Amino acid sequence: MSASSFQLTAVHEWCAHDPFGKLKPADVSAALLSVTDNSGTVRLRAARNGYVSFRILIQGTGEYRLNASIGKNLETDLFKAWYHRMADQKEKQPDYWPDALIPVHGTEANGAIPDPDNKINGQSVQEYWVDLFVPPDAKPGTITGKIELITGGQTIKLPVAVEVLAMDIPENPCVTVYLKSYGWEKLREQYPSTFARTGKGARMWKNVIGLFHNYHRLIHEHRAIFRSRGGSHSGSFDIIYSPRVVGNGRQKHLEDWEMFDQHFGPLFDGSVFLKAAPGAPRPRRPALPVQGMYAPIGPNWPASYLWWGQPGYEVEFTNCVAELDAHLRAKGWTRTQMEMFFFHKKRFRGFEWDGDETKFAKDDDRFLEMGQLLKKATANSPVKWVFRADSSWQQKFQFERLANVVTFWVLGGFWRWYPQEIRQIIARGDTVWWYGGTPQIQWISNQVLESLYTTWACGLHGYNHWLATDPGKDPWFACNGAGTGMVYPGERFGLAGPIPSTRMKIMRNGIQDIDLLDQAVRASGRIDAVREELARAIPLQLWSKPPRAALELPPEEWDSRKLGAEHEPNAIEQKTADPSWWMEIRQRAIPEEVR
Amino acid sequence: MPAKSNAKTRRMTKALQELARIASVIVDGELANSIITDQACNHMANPDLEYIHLSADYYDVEFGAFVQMKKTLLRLQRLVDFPCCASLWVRVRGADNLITMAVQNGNLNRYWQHGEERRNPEGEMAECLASGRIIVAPPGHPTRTITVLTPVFDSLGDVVGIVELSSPEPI
Repeated sequence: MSASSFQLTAVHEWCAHDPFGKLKPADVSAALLSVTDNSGTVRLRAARNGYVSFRILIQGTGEYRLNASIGKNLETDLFKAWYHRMADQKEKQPDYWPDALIPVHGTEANGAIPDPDNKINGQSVQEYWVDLFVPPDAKPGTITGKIELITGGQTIKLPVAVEVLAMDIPENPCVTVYLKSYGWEKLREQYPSTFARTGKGARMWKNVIGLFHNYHRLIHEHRAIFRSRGGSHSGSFDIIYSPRVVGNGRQKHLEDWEMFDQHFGPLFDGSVFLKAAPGAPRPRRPALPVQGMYAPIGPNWPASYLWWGQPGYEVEFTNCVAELDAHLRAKGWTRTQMEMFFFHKKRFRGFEWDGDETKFAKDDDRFLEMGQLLKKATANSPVKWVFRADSSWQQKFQFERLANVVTFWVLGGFWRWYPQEIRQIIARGDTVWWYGGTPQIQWISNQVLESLYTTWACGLHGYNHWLATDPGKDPWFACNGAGTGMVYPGERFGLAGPIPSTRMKIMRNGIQDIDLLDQAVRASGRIDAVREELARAIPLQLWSKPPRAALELPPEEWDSRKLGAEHEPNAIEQKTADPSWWMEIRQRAIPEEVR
Repeated sequence: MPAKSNAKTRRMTKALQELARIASVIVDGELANSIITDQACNHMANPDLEYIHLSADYYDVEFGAFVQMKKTLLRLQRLVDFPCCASLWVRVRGADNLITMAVQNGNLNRYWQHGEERRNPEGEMAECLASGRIIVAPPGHPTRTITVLTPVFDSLGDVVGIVELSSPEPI
């Protein structure tokens, strides 16, 4: 195949193309999102201590070699995009959209179009994602380099010029983006080879812990956090989430910390981040203790519910939680926020009250009782204990009834109805996140930025992707949109850990923008003014008015039918905003005048 | 199955049958019937086909009755020297052909699927409800549990529910 029949093009990070070169219809923008100038040079502007990205499209058929060498002072990470065959399209030619990103070892990739692994008839385009990391000590100025495509002995060159700006992305994001996983079994299913011969004993747990650590590493590097919520709705915890309880009543105590320490020790001291996830480039973010973690506490652990309402419950709870606290202190693991969070629901028949998304006000008495027990067990501890509640139906009323007991709120459902109340609880020092879904891959490629902007614009502290590690049963050849998975299992590509996605890269770059913007507007004292300006300029609704039923009825009598509002936290496809809406933020984060 | 496992299974089944006999006496059917609120039963009996989560959203229980029953079941579990989950199933008021889990104590359930709201009792469950007798569920179930069902009677002598006693099969 001669080089003349190949083409090499650079496109904006938000523009996804199918394997035949068609731009995803949702990504068509009124604004021209070009990354190349008139001479064909890729031109980018970047702050230090962060990433700048673009996509490249190789068009042609046959074998090729791709080489990305962008100067000595930038670190180049190259990823080959996987085209996901969308499911349930038997009636027509299936759609394929790129999302999972397979790491390329080094900066040189050898491949072929059609890609034998991706198995797409008539494939004529292969997309790559390019991440350029600008080190914190890079000197401001322009760094040049090139991307080379070598086919049949001939070479196509794509010049790249990166203007390094005299501004730095802060170490820690100003908002927390949390990618959640439920337990370990669903993750294990995604790695059948890794777990093929481990049995159910210590070897299996070691592999589970190793897998978790790799998810932490990859997601941390993308300026977000990962957590696996252990425990069952009936109140038990597997051995990697908690030590073992032994005895009853006064004699009840905790034993066997080995798995707990192996799992959480490297997270609580930050050492887990000294290594990269398999196939990922070297860590660039600091190896600091994780921000928070679910404490192994439930209504039936460590205290037995057999003693609920009796002295034995309090004794078992306070003695064992105090023992857990003492263990954390003895190990020096005091920098991570330990969250007491009840996720059980009465609909699951294990307990009589909702710990999660409480519907009935009477259940709040249980929160008050559990809050008192936590305070008693952990009084004067240097460990950062908090009582967290994920609140939806009753949130407005729980803000008052549970004031100073619950201080960490993760809000769902209808939080947009309560701007004043949320500002008040933030003003009193509470932490406020909200939760929702993850956009699907066939939607606007940068829709993942919507929740990020909403978080910052409303003054909230974080966003919880309620499930982000389960991209579906067959994300490769029968993809359901991966609305519950922003990372993919790498096992298919020989990696015993997760691989990133275009959505996750776009999200990380958005977090960088928000961090730069936040840093600048706080320094200038203009944060409220800028939030207002952006709210006028960006066509996304932040707050909303409650429907009449919500004003007239108590939450016990609310339902989706009466409210005309959905309680379930699924993402909804954004069809009204031009995909370039984020430029309002990026241009303020990286203004033209910065040189 | 090796002879040792067979013997252990027989011993466990016998112990669960004895536990079932005790449960049928001490589990109070009137209490069982008072756990789930009328509103919750009404939604379970008449599910909204458009808003499928609505019935679960309205699910609620009487605290006192629930806790009393849960403690009874937890105590029953302690009467055997191997892991066991005692769960209570009751008829759905307003739709007596349906039953629902009212209280469960762990993951060792043979029948209940996570989030399940109601079901038609079939096989051994239907037999237990109809006959008022203790029933040993057939072995070889995919959940690999040994399960014994015992009827729960109210003060009129009617069968209002089932206590399910499930334990893991010996390896």
